[in-house]
Amino acid sequence: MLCERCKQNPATMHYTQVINGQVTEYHLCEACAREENISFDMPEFDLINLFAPKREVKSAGLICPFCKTTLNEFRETGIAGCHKCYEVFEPVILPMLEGFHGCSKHKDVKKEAKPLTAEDKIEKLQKELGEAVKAEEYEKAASIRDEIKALKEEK
Amino acid sequence: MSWYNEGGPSSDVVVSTRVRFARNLKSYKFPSKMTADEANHLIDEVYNCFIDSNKSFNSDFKLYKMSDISMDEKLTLFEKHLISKDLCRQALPGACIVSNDETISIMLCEEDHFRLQVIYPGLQLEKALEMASKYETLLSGRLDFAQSDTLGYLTSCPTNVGSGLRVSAMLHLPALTMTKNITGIVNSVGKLGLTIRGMYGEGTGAGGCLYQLSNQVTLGISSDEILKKVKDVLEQIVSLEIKARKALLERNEAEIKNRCMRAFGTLKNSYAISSEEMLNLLSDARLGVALGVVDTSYDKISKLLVEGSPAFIITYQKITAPKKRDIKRAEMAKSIL
Ligand SMILES: [Zn+2]
Ligand SMILES: [Zn+2]
Repeated sequence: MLCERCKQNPATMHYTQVINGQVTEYHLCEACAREENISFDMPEFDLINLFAPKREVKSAGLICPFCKTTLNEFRETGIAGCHKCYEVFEPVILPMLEGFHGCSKHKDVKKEAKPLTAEDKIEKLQKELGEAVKAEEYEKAASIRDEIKALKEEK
Repeated sequence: MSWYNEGGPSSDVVVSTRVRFARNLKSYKFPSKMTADEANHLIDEVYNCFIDSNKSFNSDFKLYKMSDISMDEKLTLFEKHLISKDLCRQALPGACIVSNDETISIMLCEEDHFRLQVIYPGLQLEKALEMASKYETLLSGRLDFAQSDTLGYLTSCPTNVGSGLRVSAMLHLPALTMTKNITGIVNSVGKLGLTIRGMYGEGTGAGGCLYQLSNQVTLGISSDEILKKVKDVLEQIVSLEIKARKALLERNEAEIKNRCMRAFGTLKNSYAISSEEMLNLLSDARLGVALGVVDTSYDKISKLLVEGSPAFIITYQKITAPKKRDIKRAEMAKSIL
């Protein structure tokens, strides 16, 4: 077999790698293998960081109905098969996230993405207005009504 | 312009700045569970959607389907830091949309459906994040990304969940490496939710004294906070490196300057240079530029770092035999520097 890089020397170094759950192979000569070993990588992470304290989960036979990933499979690879896996394996994933990120809840994505528009603000205020009226806090209700009026005029 | 053809701010220590978002579509399984047909379908759907979003994209960007190009062409994209090595080698059909100036690249069907990356020369974190966010917003307006109310964006690997954002910089730290201070830095950076690693070669004995600093935590933290965290630590490392360079000069000025100038001399006057040797010579020459004793520029050194890489020489110079590549590399060093 010839080296797949230079296509001249015989391939003496054989590599097997699992990428994204699938096995790939490549074969290099010694000179090309040496280059391969010093060529850079964009480092991501040691999976070791993912190991969270193992807790007994009652639902050991869990399987994701959408992508058919089993709990054992997920534990072995640390890779989710689809976005639904996050709901199905939640009891396992949350401690994992806690171990790696130090928390298991994200900041409100939508709020972070864009500031509230005038419509959002009005909607929010109208909810508050309803609650204030229900609680018979008429002074508060009046001031909220003024705020809404001012916002509408601004538009 | 691409990071290896142009200098940037703080190029004496910061070689390049990289920002990337990981995103997935709701309507497909994640890549580890996709079939080849599904992957091809996603690539076509996303590429068409991307091209339709702006009239100039058709000419400003190029689509590389991994199934259509040779391994050497793939590895050349990798050597330019535009795609990962996994995308080159993986069995699943993947693709990459690359801007003509090689600053923006969108990997499709790698570990996640999208890995959108912006890379600039030197220290330009804010500008890179701004540009990456612009493209992320553009795509999120047209595609339905997988996210949850409590966990933010969902990714194949739970290490990327939340913002899906990785902010990183490639740093040249010869003085911290020579003085062995790098070990202490590696340890303390880890405690801050960041990581620093050798980019070329194994572990912290980094070839070419090149390291990548990046955030590790992506959950429970906003994009701006991630950027600020990386930037704060980055600035501290840069000032430590500068201090270490000064200290080295005070102690061994003649030895250090001699080493840098000789490296430059070797680069310009050799018949053959292996990639390993060149990585180390370029490191010394880059330090020489910073110390004002070597007359070349940071962008030329970065250019040689990329264009002297094995796959680049095979693809663009059409020279395959390892020994002949070493000869070509020496010729390129002579002409580029
Ligand atoms: Zn070979
Ligand atoms: Zn699933």
